[in-house]
Amino acid sequence: MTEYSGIKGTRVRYLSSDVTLNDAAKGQIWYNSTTGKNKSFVEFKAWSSGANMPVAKRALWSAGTQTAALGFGGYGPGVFNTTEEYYGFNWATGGAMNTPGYHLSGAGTQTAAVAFARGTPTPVKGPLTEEYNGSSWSEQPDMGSARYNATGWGTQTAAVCAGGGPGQPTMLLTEEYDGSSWTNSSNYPTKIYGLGSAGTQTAGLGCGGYAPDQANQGGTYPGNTTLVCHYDGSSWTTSTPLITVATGLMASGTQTNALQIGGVGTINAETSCSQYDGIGWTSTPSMANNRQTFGASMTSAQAAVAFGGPGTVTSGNTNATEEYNSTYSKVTTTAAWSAGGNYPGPVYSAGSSTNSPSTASVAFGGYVSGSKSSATNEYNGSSWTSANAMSDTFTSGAYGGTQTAAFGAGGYANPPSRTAATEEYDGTNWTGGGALSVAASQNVGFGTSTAGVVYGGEGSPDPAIKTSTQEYDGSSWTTVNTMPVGASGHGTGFGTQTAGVRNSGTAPTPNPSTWDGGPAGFVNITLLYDGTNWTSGAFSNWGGRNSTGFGIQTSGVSCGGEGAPGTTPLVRTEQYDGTSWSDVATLPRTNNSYSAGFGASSGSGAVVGGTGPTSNSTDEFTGQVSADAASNLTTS
Amino acid sequence: MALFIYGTATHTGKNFFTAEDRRAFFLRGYPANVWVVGNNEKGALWLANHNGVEKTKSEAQALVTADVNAAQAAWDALSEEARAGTNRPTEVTLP
Repeated sequence: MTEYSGIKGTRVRYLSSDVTLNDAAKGQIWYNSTTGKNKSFVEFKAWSSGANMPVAKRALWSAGTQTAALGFGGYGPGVFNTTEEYYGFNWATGGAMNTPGYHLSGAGTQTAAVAFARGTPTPVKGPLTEEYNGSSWSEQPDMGSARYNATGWGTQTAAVCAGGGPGQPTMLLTEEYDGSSWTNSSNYPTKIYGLGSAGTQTAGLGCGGYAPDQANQGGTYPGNTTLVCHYDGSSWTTSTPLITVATGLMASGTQTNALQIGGVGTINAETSCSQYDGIGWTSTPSMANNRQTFGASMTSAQAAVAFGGPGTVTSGNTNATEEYNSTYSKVTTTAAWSAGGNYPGPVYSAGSSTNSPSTASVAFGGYVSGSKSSATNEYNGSSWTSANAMSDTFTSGAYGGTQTAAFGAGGYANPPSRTAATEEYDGTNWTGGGALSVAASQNVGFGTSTAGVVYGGEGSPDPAIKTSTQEYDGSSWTTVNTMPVGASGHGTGFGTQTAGVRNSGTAPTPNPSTWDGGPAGFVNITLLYDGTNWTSGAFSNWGGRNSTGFGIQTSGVSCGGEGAPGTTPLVRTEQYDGTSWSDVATLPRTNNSYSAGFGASSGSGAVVGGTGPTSNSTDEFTGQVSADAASNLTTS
Repeated sequence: MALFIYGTATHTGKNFFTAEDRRAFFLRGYPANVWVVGNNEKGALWLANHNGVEKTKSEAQALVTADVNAAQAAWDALSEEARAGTNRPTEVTLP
């Protein structure tokens, strides 16, 4: 007898347990005989609506990511010089370009973009280049060729422009930008304009576009192509064509993992999209809106945003925004706090090794049982053990490091006075280190005893301290670039000397010039340090002085703190992934302010002590974790 | 039915409450070793298993207020340095 499966359908693997959910399992379907369920590990892809742009425009260009995108220039009617910034949930107005432009190109991120090859009211096409720093545009050296309706990709300091015209011979040209000047590269394989692009300066992707020498496709736009080309930083090679022709399309991702979005087909703008794996293209869900000459984020094939553009050549522009997400099913383990071993006495204002695992950490100094302390205690994940004391008491200073490379700097020593002293802990003994440039308290640190950072704080009097940053090399402190916003009030600091995070605490609001110490604004700002400069990060949900935290820049925690006097202390616990904050759990008690935190990542850590009233509790944190999960298939 | 159970229990350190406890029912600590837990089987069992003494809400509130008042008096007596930029302990109202 013929089996049904032999004439209809395909076989499904019969397994006693789910497959291991790794890259090899992606796309698989199987039957789990233990649970009696058909299971799958497949990608869910969909477009959904986002917040409308503040203006409807076409022929703009764009840069950035789904949660930090940038749209600039465009045509309304009227040529725009406006810039719009998308934050994943809403739009804000950015700085205006110096010269309006449409059918322009560009590259970069929301805070470091470059625009080039624009159409201007007069002349029609231009070589102008402008750079955006997150708030304003500045003119840069012109391109070697004047053109518009080209394409651009890469970063502000490593961008590429290809094609564009209309007219001869710019449609063949490729130029590279290094942040200060343009150089010619090899020609595109055919004359082209209105193409999409993605990737980097050394691994770029060009797709679609209008190629007048290949005007054999029929329809209203016979030159619309499916052409796909790879760029390696010096030359172009052709690759597998698009599924359908498209001009005025956008692309997002890399040379080997890209999303093609919309564009004009044979007659009209399309909603269709497809995904490229470096070898071939597969159809993906379509947008709700037909789009051509629109804007899009350009960095990811799994998380993109599209905005603006007209549905047809003659139709009005849209301000509609759509977001694309491609994800596998996830199972999330919620974050939670649990009780750890009690500290030898009620403690607050202590220091700790903020970048060490909670099973091998150290806390030191602080007020213990009401007195200034030089005590050191090590934590093994269950209990505290006394270790060699510091040479002096330490309270309200900056600290950081690991159990074998911790440091405390500044704060109050004994007798009561602010100090510039530094002490280093090697896991056994404390030794004196180099002095801060000036005595300071309420300062914050991160890094280790051989590569540390201290920022902000209060002097007496020295208002300049509040924006200062100092780096430590194990023997001396060096004053480096200041922060854009002053800091005090013991906020949260964690990370390394080349990838640090400042969050929470107090800052000078509303007028920095009048802030001379003590509580100012209780802030939820985030600043990121890269070893040279501070840049703005996403705001946390909460913030206040005497908060604490631990971890690294891409996996950290900021928790607790207190707002204005008389308000209830914060019980927030926020995880940071390097981009955004998520409030994942409440602290188990209300007196966590001025506790000391330690943990190697947001996956696990702990805080000890706190005030209001003072506590000897240690609370251990297990972070929120999201992992791939197989889905049940149903017949309904 | 009341949402919470109020009681006192001495914090014994490691695993006095676990992450699973926190995920399973409401549990929050307050001054004076007062604990507020969800009014359900798991919450009640947790308090019982930790030698807790159940209190009425007003009894628990009185304990908390007394402890906070003592902490406020202690804070008032501190030097400016010892206050170290901390807020004066605030009155706590139990949920």
